[in-house]
Amino acid sequence: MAASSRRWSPGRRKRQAWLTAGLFLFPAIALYLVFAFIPTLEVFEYSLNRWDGISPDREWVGLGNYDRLFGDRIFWEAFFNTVEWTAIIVVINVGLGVVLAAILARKIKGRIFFQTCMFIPVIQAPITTAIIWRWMYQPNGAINEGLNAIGLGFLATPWLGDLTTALPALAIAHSWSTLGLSIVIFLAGLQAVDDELYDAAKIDGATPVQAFWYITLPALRPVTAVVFVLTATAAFKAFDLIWGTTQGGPIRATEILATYMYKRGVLENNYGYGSAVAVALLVIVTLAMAVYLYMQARRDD
Amino acid sequence: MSRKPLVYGLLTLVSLLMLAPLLMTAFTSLKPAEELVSPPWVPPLAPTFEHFVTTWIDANFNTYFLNSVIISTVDALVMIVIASAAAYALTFLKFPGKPLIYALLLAGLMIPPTAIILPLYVTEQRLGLLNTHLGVILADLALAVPIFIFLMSAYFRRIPKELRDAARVDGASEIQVYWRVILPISTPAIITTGLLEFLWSWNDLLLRLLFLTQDNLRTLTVGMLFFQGTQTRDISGLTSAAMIMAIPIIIIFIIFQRHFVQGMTQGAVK
Amino acid sequence: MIKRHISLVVAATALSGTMAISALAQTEIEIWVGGEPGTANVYDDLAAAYMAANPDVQINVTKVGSDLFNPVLVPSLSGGEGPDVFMYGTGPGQPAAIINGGLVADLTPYYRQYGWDAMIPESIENTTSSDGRLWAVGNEVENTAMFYNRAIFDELGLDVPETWADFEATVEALIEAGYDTPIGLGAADRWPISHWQSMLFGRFASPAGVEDVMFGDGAWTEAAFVDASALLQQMTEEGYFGPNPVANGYAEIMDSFWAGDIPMTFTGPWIVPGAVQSLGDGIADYGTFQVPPMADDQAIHPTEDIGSGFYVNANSEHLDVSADILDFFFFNNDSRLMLLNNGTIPIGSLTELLPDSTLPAITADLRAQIDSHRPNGTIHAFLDTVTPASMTNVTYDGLQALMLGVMTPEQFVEAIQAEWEAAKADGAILMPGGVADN
Repeated sequence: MAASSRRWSPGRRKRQAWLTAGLFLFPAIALYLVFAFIPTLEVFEYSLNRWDGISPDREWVGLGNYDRLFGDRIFWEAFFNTVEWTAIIVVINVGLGVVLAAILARKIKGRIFFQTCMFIPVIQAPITTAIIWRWMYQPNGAINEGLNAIGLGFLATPWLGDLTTALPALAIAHSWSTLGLSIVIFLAGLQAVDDELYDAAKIDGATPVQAFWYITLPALRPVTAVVFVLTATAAFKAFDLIWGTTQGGPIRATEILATYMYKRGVLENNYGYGSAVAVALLVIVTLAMAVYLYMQARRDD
Repeated sequence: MSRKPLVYGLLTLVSLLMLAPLLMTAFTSLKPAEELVSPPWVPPLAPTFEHFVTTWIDANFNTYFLNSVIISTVDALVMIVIASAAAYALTFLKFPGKPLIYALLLAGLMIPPTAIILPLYVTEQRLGLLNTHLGVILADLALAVPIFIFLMSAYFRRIPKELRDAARVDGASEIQVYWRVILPISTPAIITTGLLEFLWSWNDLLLRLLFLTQDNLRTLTVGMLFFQGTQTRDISGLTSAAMIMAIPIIIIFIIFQRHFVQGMTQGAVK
Repeated sequence: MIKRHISLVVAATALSGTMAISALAQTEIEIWVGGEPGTANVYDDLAAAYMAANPDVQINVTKVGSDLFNPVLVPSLSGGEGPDVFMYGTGPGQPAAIINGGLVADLTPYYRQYGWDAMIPESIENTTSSDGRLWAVGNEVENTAMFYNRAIFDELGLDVPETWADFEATVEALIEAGYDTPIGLGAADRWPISHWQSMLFGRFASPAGVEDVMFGDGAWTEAAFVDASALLQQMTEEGYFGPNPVANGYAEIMDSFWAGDIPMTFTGPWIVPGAVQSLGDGIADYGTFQVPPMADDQAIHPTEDIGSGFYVNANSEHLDVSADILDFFFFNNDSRLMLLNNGTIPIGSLTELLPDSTLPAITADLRAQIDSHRPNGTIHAFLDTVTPASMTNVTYDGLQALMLGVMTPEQFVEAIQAEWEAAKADGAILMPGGVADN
């Protein structure tokens, strides 16, 4: 009896563990599979065809679309733009986000007010954000007028009409509309930091900058990973802001993979090729995130 | 003490930069037609609510508003339950194949909705979900659930394992532990999830435009689109619609922010 | 008690009312329209008028945002769903996929049955038909012209330029007077540059030259198109469009134009309804003129295109009713007057409509100007909407590159020709237009 029970228990326990976990996971995973993951696999299947998205017959071309993709100069242009775009956004959201969250976490007067102000851009619909930033970046728009007013007129430039400034300018606009979220996540992370640590540091004569460097930053490491992944994936997928301002222009200065995919696949009725761009986008981001998380995990060990 | 002005100076500057666009939107929405040629940062001289009235009544925004409220509320509530349940399993339970589930969900973070509209449409069509709010809600949940599972897991990981183990030793089932022990101390994560899912659902356009073609089912974002043509735009309609969309969210955020901060301090587990 | 009784009666009446309606309304027609804010509303009125005359038909007009029309329409059409009637691009390029895919109904039988040929002008028939069959009914005629601020011209003692030299002198005078953007463009939005491109291409190549490329053996690399592109680049370099035209958005440029900061802009009458709303009688300060010929051997060819056309879904269960609705919307004078008064210029002659219309003077004047030059032959107003979408993107990129001076006119025409040939090889360009005789 005892022997058989010992023999069977690992299997039964395993099944039991599966059942319990399955119960908790089922609603989320089932929805995700049906409405997100399987459609994505279908996109992969489309990418192996020549198809306009309309006619009933598709022409199987195997890896033909990918072959074309690797030789597509515009694809690579869009790829490097996407990398630059994402890098700027991540640097701003993580860097400025940490600093502002650290300030807001201290017991200062009006912190709820400031925190709300910083979250306001996050709540605006993307279409509004695009319209606003178009206004701001016009040659006679708010930014150049503002620079003139404070005597920095020499910095005024046609932001969205210049091949070198357009992408960074829009990346800043994207950061503006998402920074509030990074701050909130960092703030949540800072709740875990023991106030006594700061008090002790103060007694030891540490400056606030030293306290930030030696206490706040190390404590925020796990949350930084969350902000990094969220910010980077949102940046990779960003579409509305660019579409509502430059549509990838001037020329292709702000063409990122998401806009390129839309132009090729949807506007040009070239779903096969557009799907290949989408799959490339997906693979690139997944790889980048996997490498980042792997390195993060190794550092934590 | 001398750095206080510096801190406040920085905070005020950043806050102003963050608020300015909303103010400009508000200014424009209140400008009568003759004042529209003035720059957006100039406040209206004779503010008027007429654009709000036209937008609300003529552009059918009362119906759109109700639809947005229904979809976003259901989205937020269901998301809280399914994301926290999945995060509970991933954080506290031991089962084979966990890394696979993680990898699957991680891939989900990367899916750009614009890339999958065609197969998603076919899925909705096969399931008879076109022109139903349910169809939009299910797709919303599916596309955002990975993010919230990760957010919830990050929060759950900070809860000491002993808390859960103690409850299990006392004879509580996993569901009881999840519902009675873990969820009650996870208010900040719950509020963050609910708030963000509500917000994203409120502002989403693509899925609503795609799946809801009957006017009585449509949402605010779709309604807003009618003020923006390819060649012209109705800036009064657009800005008043933007304000109609933004105000409820601002109010909700301010209300929950207080709970959010309270929840943080009370829920902090040492 | 009595109150309750009354409410019962009311409820019963209401119920029988709905039943009566549902018994009558056997045919439901779904129509999807895009278009500019406000203008799409006229289709609600037209649908109401049709339903009043045909109580057995229920029409649902659904507005789909213009920018996202394609991603919404394509999945529903290919899924065998979608509207009975919908708006879509025309020309030899844009609708090729839906026509070749068999998703839209052949309207030729209705064209003959209703005698639509009497009203559809040849140039529009060419872009709504192919292979001898009619696929769409053009719903709106659009023209482009130079809009100018009369007050500024009067103040500086400037007249409407008659020759290219006059035009150059006018621009110089405006720059000297401190208008650093003599002609507003809004090149950040890309499509406004194509208005200039379409006009210049048409003027340099003549209508026959453009048609020869569209439907014949001609190529975009011919000298006329190089010269036209070179002129656009030269005008940009000389500051005709201001210091940073590629940074300007179209909507923002129009704001400055109506505010009196920009004296001229090359655009179309679709901007008039919005301007009347904000300027009121101030619209009288604005006028239009045709850009003078750029060389002695050129004539003024008015630009004209249809913004889009109405198609009937091949899978619709009500082809006849759908066609009947199109006939009602676009081929009877009451409907056409409704369109006209809404700021949508219907196809066909306006002579009979104009006396009863409430069209603003500026639009009516423009129309008269165009009609007076019509004998010279019309040219495309929007080459970008009648060529394949793949070519449109290359054109937009190239036009911005031309304006920024990073591409030569020769490189530009070669780039669009390459894309044109690729589209032809792909079958994305339809056969020549024109409906075959019986």
